[in-house]
Amino acid sequence: MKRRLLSAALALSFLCAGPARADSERREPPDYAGRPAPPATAGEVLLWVPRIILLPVYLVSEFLLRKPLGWVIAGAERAGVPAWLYDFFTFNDHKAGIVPTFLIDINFYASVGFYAFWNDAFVKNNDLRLRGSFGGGEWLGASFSERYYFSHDRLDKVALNARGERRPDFTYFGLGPDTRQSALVRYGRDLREIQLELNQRLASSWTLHSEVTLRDVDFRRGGYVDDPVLDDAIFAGTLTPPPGYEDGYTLLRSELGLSFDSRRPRPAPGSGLRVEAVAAHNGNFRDNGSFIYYGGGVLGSLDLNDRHRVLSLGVSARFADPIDAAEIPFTELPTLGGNAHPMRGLYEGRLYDRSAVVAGIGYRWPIWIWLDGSLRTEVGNVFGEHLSGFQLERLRWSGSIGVESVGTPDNSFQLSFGVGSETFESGGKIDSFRLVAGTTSGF
Amino acid sequence: MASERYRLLLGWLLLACSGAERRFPLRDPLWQDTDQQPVSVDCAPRPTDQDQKHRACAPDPYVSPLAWDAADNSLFRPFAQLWAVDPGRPAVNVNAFDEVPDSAWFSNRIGKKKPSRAELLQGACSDTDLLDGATAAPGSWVIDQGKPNGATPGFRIKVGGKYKFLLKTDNQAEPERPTAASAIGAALYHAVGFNTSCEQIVYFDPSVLSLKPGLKVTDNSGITKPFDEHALTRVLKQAVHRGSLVRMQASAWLPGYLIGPFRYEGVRSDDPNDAIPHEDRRDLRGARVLAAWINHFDAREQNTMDSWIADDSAAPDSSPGHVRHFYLDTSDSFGSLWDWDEISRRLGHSYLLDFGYMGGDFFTFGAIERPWERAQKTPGGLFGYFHYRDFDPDGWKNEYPNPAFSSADEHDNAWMTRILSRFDREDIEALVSLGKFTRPEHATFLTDVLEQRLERIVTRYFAYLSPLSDPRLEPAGKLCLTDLARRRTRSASTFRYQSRLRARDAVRELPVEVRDAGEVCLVLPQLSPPGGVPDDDPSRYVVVGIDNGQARHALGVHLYDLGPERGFRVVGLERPELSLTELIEARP
Repeated sequence: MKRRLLSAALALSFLCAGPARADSERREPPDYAGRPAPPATAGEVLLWVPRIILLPVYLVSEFLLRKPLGWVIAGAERAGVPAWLYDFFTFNDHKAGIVPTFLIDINFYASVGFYAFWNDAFVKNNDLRLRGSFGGGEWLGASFSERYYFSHDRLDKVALNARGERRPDFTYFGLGPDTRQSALVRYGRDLREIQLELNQRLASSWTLHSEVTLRDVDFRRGGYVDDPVLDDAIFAGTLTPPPGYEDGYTLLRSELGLSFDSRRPRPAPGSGLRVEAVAAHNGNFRDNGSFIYYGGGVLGSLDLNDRHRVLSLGVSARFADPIDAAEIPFTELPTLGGNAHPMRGLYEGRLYDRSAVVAGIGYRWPIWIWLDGSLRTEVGNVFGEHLSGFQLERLRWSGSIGVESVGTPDNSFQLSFGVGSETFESGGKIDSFRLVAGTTSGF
Repeated sequence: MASERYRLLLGWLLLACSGAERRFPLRDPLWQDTDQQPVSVDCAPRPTDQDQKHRACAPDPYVSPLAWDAADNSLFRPFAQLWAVDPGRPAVNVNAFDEVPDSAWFSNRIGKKKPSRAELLQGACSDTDLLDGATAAPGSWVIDQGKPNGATPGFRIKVGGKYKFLLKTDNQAEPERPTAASAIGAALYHAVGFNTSCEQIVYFDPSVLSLKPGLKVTDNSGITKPFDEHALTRVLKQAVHRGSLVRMQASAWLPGYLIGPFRYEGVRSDDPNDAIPHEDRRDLRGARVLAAWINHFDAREQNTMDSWIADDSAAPDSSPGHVRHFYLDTSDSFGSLWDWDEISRRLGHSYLLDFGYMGGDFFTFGAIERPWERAQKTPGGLFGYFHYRDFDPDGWKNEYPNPAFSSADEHDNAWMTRILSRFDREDIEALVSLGKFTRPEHATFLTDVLEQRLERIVTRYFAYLSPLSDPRLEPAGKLCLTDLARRRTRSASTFRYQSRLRARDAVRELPVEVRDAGEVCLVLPQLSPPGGVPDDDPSRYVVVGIDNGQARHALGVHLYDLGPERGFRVVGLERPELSLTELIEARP
């Protein structure tokens, strides 16, 4: 074994020796100090032990990773490839470009994709965005956004957004506050959506948000690895079909939101208060039913030293009420879990019901120029109509820690680890683990 | 098999613990390295515009890969080095006096002999390099090339038909600072001992320029455009003006045949003289402290240059010759600002991608307030965040890790500090005047900040290893040294000197005479051994330890006692991490 290692090291050293064009012999450095070198200390001798043990790792990192990569990348640089790539992927005075994206969410299919941007497209203050994602044959997503900023304030915008998504790995655990992680089943969903959005700052900290969305959704058989499938559970009679699952739905949604946010963008300190309220009317063309969706939240943030160590305390609630006896599709009910909703330690779609309430504490701190550390702990759950059945013992806990990028939310990066629990009434045991790395999807 | 391994290990350990004698030889310290001896390089085809069949007998030009250099030094090299378990080794090119011999990299200047004011200000410029815009004849500066790339616009001129200069403007966001930093930084590096280009600020009337027709220039995007009057007007418009005079920085062309930058790691394979891995050179390691002083965070290989100096100056790429190594472009010094304030505040305090700080900040949940969070812009808006507040010579970092800087140890840092301590306030003031600031308060501010930063460097590195230096023998057996720490300080009363001598296993105290200007002297007792022993006999060997009461460790001066007629001869200086007692009791 030792002989093999030594031979490999010698062979590699010959391979890596650069061209020697010198006609003269390499000079022998003089004896600078003229004094014999000090004897090796015991520590220096003992260092050979870890050195030899770690030699294979060193050889791999130096000669199989660093040197070949250096040869390729440095060679490409000298040939002008990066400049060509930069010009290829960014154009129009570098106001436009394409960047690769990826998202890894453990227990969901990973995806790769691209994010394209074009600022001041055709006219000034008119930005275009395009995102595409691919996670295998059954996993495709694309979204487009055209947004026009009608004042110097970047909050004032009108936007046209469109989205299409086909994924097989959505999760369903049942409805209500007492669902278990072990009840997981998978389903597929096809979504097509177009939206017209208007944001406007009314006064210094007040913003009005309105949108009209046409959303068309169909459900289908899904799956992920060996996880149980919702269709099979329905067929076996162990689960009733969730509302809207069998027929899908086509919604016309009109939403109005009002928020007050006294926090200022960086570099200003992060203290402030955010209060928001939202209400939406939804009409389902397929069954002529309609429902309203509404809610609000308060978030207080305190910048502990005015250097962006921000402690936040917040509470939010969401409700959905049918009009007459309409059925509310389950994916339009208040939900908790996933990246886009509170309680990130839980899977996306973990909890659905007529109402949801969450309270939480968050802490954010800077770790690099455009990266923050993020720590969250929340308690919450979903409940019946207007929080019926609410009890403190029926709440769950979710916690997460990670890093998130700072700046534009369009293509922000996150790396986080989260956990979630069953209800406190059931013991509060941790039964959910999430690990997410990559850039956010959608806008 | 196992018992044999244990016997081997025991043998190593015994050797490690043995107290073998380590005497300096009886000879003068080496003050001239051998890397400027002419060497020959194989010839290879290197077509030129004028001669497609041209063959050059000089090392191959090295093109530095900017992105890979950053990625390699930020990530791949440190990762690989982690597994090498190599905590570092002492610098190689260190002579018996703990100093660096003159070489193709470094020449002892202010560290050995204080230059005159004129020499200090002239820097690397020869008399023919100095431009005077006030006396230049109209049209005498012929523009023969546009500046091909880079952040600041400019052009090349030829003066008198042969002397070439690159003229560059400041950028509009930071008027005067970049050009001043180039001129002052180059003069500083030259005074310290490094080879630099000749940099100067010139004010001139545009009428001294004349434009060669038909010039073209390629910009950063690869687009080629004509460099005509219109382009020239655009460049001059960006420059700072003083009345009708335009301010630009003039860089003289380096001598020799340029072969690209030097790397901070390894050796150049086709330079036979390059025999010491660059990360093990004390001059390159010690340059970290100099870069820290002026906040030259852009100290990477792309801001260096190697030049092949052929013996036949008429054939610059012919053999034999030797390579000379230059430092270039200090225009980032004294508070350069980037487009992103978040980056500007960090320059000098952390690498751009600093995994150590990122990890530390993540796992401490931001409990530690970092110096860049407290950074404040300096008044006047010219020097960015350049100040002495929060300046930590030990913690200073350049843009991304540099193998030589990362290898610098206490001895290397102390060596550079000894050199920098020779700069008095008047010297700094004079060098700052090379920046030709329009407003005197800018020059005053810069002088103050540089002096304070130097004070912090001196305070840090003279507190550990001995700052005593410059050994010399006076008549009547007097050994004198300069305490470079006391030379700079006003509170001389805090220094308490002790000295002991060991010769032939006998130890005695020596009284220390304290003189002005940091000088200390002690009379060496005549302890000559009986006649007849050779000059380099161990019985003649003497070690004098001296402690200044401020530094944690003592200085050891090694001498040979050559008898009453010939006196003593200093053969070595060492700055071990030992107290006076430990030094004298240890065998040499």
